[in-house]
Amino acid sequence: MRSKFKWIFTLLVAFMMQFSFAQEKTVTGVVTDELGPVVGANVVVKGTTNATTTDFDGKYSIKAKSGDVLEISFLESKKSITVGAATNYNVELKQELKEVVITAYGIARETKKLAYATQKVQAKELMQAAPVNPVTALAGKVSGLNIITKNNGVNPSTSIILRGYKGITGDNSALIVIDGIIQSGTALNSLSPNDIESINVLKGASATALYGSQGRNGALIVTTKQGSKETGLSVEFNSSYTVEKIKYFPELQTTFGPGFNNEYDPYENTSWGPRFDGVPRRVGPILNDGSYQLLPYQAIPDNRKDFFVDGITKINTIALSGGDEKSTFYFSAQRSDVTGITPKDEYVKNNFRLNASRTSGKFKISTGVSFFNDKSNVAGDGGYQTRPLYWSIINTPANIPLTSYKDWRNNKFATPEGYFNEYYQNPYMLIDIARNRSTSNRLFSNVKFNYEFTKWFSAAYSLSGTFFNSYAKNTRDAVTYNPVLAPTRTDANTVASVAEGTSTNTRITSDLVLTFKRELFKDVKGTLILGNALYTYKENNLNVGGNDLFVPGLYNPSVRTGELTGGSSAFQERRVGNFADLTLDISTFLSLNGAYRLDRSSTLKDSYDFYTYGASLSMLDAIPSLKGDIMSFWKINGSYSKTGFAPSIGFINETYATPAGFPFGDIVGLAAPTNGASATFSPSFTKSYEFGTELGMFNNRLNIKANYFNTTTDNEFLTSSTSYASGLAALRLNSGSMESKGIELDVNGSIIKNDNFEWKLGVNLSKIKSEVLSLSDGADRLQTGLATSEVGIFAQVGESFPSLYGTAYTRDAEGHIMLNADGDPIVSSELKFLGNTTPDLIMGFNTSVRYKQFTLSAVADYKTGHKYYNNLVDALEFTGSTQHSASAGREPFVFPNSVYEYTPGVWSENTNITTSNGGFDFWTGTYNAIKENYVVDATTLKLREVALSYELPSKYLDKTFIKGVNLGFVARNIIMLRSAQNKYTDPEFTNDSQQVTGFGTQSQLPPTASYGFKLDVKF
Amino acid sequence: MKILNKILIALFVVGFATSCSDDYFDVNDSQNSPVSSTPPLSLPVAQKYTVDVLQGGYNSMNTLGNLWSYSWAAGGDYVYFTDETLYLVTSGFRTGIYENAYVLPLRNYDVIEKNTDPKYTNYVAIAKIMKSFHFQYLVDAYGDVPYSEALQGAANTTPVFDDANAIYDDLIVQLSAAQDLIANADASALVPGSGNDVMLHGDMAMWSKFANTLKLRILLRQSEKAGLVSQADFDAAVNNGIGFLGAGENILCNPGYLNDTNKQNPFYAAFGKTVAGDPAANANATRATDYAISKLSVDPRRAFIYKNVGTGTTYAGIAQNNVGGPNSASLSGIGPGVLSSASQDGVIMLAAESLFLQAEAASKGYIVGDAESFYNAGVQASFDYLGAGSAAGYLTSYPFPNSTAVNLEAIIYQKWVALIGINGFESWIEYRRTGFPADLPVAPNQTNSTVIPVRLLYPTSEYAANPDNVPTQSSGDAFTSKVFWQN
Repeated sequence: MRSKFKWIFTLLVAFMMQFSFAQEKTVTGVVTDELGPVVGANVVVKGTTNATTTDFDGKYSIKAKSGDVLEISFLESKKSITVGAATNYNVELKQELKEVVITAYGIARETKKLAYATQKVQAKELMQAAPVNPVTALAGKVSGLNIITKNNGVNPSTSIILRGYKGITGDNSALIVIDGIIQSGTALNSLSPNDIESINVLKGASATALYGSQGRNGALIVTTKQGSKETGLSVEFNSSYTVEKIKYFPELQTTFGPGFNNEYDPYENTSWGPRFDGVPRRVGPILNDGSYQLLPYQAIPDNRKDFFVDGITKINTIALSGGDEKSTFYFSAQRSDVTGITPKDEYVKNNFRLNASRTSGKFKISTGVSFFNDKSNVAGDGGYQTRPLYWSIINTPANIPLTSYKDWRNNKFATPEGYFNEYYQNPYMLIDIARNRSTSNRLFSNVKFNYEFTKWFSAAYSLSGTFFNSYAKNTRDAVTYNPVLAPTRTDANTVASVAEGTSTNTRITSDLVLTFKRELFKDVKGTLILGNALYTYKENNLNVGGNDLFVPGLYNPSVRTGELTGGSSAFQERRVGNFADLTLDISTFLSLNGAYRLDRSSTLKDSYDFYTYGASLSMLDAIPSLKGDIMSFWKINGSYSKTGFAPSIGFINETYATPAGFPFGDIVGLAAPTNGASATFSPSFTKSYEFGTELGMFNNRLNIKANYFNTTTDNEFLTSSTSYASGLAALRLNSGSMESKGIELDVNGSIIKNDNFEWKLGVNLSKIKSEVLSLSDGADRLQTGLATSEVGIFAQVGESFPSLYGTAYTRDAEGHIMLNADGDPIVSSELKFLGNTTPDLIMGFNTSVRYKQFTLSAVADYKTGHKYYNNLVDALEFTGSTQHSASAGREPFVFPNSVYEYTPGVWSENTNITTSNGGFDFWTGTYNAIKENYVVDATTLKLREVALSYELPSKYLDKTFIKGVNLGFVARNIIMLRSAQNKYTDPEFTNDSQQVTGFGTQSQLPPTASYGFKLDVKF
Repeated sequence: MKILNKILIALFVVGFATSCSDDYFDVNDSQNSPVSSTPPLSLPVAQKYTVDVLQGGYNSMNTLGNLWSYSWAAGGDYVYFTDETLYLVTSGFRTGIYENAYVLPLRNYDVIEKNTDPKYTNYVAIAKIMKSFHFQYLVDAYGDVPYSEALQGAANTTPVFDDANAIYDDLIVQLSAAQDLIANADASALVPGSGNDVMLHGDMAMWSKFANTLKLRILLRQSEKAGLVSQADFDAAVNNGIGFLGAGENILCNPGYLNDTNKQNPFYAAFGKTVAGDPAANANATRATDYAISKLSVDPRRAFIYKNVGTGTTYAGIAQNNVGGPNSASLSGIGPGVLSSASQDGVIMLAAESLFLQAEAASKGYIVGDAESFYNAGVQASFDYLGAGSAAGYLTSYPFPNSTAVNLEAIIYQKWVALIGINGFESWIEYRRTGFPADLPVAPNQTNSTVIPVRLLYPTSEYAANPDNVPTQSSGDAFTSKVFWQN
């Protein structure tokens, strides 16, 4: 705009010179915009008080001289004309190109007027480090958004939590909407990241009021790329190659070797044996030919870590897009080939997409079709203890040359009989005999019609179907020991087994949106949206399995011994929502919005109907005088909403079941449900309000956004704990309430900006606290995540959610550890609060520096204020491989920070009483019983992404058909700074099925880092 | 807002007039699971669950009981049963003994008991008897437990804890009521078939006898502490002519166990072999104690209660908490009289136990009969169950003392032997009541307690879900806070 004004100014000066003595005359004309004549537009002669407004036909009449500049304005639209010789000037006001965001049901709204927090992540920011999974690429980029990657591996699971938790036991994942269509949570993980034009994060329930029940947890509105009109054909090719490496392997003790009670045992997985001394010792059994392994008794550095290999990810994408004056199209095909850090783990993903549109007068039809297919083949839980593979790897004492046992079929010390470990089998064998294979397909198709009946009324209808099916087959090969080869081994044969299953689901959505736009009064523009949304979901699952398969190498339940296992399940859900949304724009500065939705859901049997409403207000430049060179704009916003929420499918049902084992021949039985359901249910409501402000400064080079929000959910659909004495292990009911509140702050700036050098920096911060206000009547604690009887994840009334509870030290008032008469710590009889497990502060740092053709960008995030319990370390205590188990040299010791009852009733600092034992008995007994020992500060600072790219100067491409080449180096997760206590893993890791973090297990692999390069070529 | 609703509905009435009817939304009910049961369908499930919690797998009462009555230990090469033998008793310890009893057997018996259809009278009587059976054990393990407000499902998820003694009193009432139901059942009342009553196959007279025996056990349990029971209590409750379980009248349960996944006898599944015939997960870890092997050195039943070492003829045991001691291969496991096959019966109550109860009651004069005969018959019943042949020879070495001062010790010792591996939980309870066997070792190599625990602690789940009612406990209570009938 700046240059345009300069040009006008120049003209103005010229005209003034020429016509400075011109006579005043009456100038007339009609002001129109895209809706027709504009009523009430201001017409001002610049530099004077001479002004008028247009009448009902958009006509104006004003006195002016030749050379005067008329400024015509209406709302934000503005135009200037210079009066010349003529007396009639018709003016067409064009809407300024405004930044809009796509909100619920594809409704585009002007960013500056939004009264609730949203944040858009553009393709460029998302793609900078060449991710396989778009969800992981969101980490650190948006305030209020907590992206949890629950494991690594070839196809990791993620959770997307916006603004903390709303439900205590219900689903807390943000709604995923792709091109206006509600999709499953995993649909975004499987999307080709290259297809994404932008992801708009609607943070609060106000923003998603139109989605009603389904929008309670906020939403991610994903828009895929569309071709542009009149661009001809353009072809883009992207390729990336990254290598994943184990980065943070648990730090284990390397002082003591296998055995028990300080005595060496050649078969042991546990490291309670003598101190390493370098003297050769026999490892494993003496084979029937008399041979055995004689190895120096010393720790081999990284012997377990070296089991893992480099994972390779190759992604290739080709995209064709373009359009003529009436049509657009975008086509893409992507293939990702991933091999994991676990040898032989593989993952392949294919994505195809075609988006096309055609406009014919007032009618526009657009369609999107995409197909996703993936295949995964990974090591499953195995061995005769059916443990995760990682457990078998990490149960290798420090002196064992694990990588030498790769050839388990031929190396006589690696075969089932010859392998050293009596209790866990050779992991190289396990990866061959226990395989989990799965494949899934998703077909998405959508057609959308738009018709503009009049300038002020248009209708849009979209119909879409998503068809998903998956098939999984887990096979376990038999292991039979040859007793001749392994005379000392207890026979622990395992049989071959297979479990396979299919799952199909279908989602159909139908959305009708009618839009009415009119100027209602002078300076008041109204937009009314009426809509109807239909959603149906149907799912069928079928699984079968067989054990002790008797045809070697064939995994079919029909060659089983004994009974067929398996079952089937089916679920269905139907929802209908009708909604209305009214926006009033008063002049340029005030925008009011009200939304109301009435929902009906099949999952609320006897009270189908419930409502959601929201109201919001935003004020732009409320104090006009503040606007100037420093402040480009200033917005204040506030909103309130109340969202009705329906339970998940089958939540309200109570069913009897055939228990395990039944039928025994002709003896049949039905067991009463142990998970009960309350007799009546009503909708749950989430109330939320937020207010905030946004400042644009220094010509919008610095943007500051701040929001405060508060969300309270009452009458939750709670799977509550019960006294087991009630006959129920759990009860589903309407109860419980939780409050989440917090602040979000985003500061984005272009610190330096000129033709050759640009430096952008963004910092976002969220400070969020979720607190459990109540649970079911009479209960104050409820298990909400993984838990054993001694430690776990709970909701506790009055505590932040989720909370970690576990057995703890008994301490005196000063926090000293109290010892019993034998000098050992006393374990608390009840579980104690050990901290909350979600970060209360998340900060994201984004920066990019461009110098000429080079761009360096980086993303880091910092999460703090939470705790993590690692069950892996807890379990490793038993095996004597933790560092602290060797910290006192396996001798009795004076327990640190402890007090002893030297005289009855008087506790004083313990200076000389040692623990009852310093070896196995102490560490796996008393110490291991205190789960507080395995809880660490979960703070991390992660360098998530670093990317350096080089854009080939266009002068080199002038004479070629190539339009652009960009080459880059990328790195992901290369630095993770942790608290000193945490020597073991990424405190975000937990089991895939868990929506809350804080409880790590043997199922997660060590954290990794990835490095690679990418190439983008445009034709 | 109501007007707006109407406008909205009117607006779309054309498109969705049919689709918005309630029928359209009526798709939430499960298409795969029934929503109710009948007593004939509930009873076999409840009875199978009784075996599961009582005698079944790793988490059963029997497993803990055998460890706390010093019959079993882990082999020196296994670190197993650590919390149990180190007496690390917390509210997180063995919570299944409490939780599973309520939600599995009791829940299903209760569903039967609440059925008001007169044709199910016999089923209701069985349910009452089995509820009493479980509640006695809950009281014996925990003292005060939820009873009067228990098992009300969604209607009351925070039941109060009732006084242990009062529960005991009501169990007698309930068992008598069950006997009355059986006696007065009219002709239309269904008698369970062998496919529905997998314990006694509809033998209602035997059910009544079992109920009488349970009453005897409840009364005797209180007989060692002064002032709890009197002769009048015995007369009113058990001296009713119904009699008690006698020789050959073992209360067993078998829903049709066979060697297949989830269908094995749960005790065998835990300590015997897998379906494929390999040692089960806990099989190699569970071994005889040195104490038991030595106590049974001249007892012909030793060869049936414990297994010979390897293929030899020797028997060996190990002290508890002896990690690094003799390995499992050199120790005796569970013997063939106790652990026989995947289809073996679950044991609810042995005839031997009933006979020993009668011996004690007769010895104390509570019932009519010759204590020595009951004692001899009890020992023979134990030999019979284990398949050990005639007890005549053994009884010459272990005759009934016929001396009030030591009768009880002899009876309880015999009960301890008879129940090894079968119902160790009863032996632990009887040890707490009588102090016999007097030389029963407290687990060595541990520093947590100088006595065998006297109770279990309420599970964590009660502290979480029912904090206003559950009594406060500390870990020391496991060794000091005795159940009301213990001296």
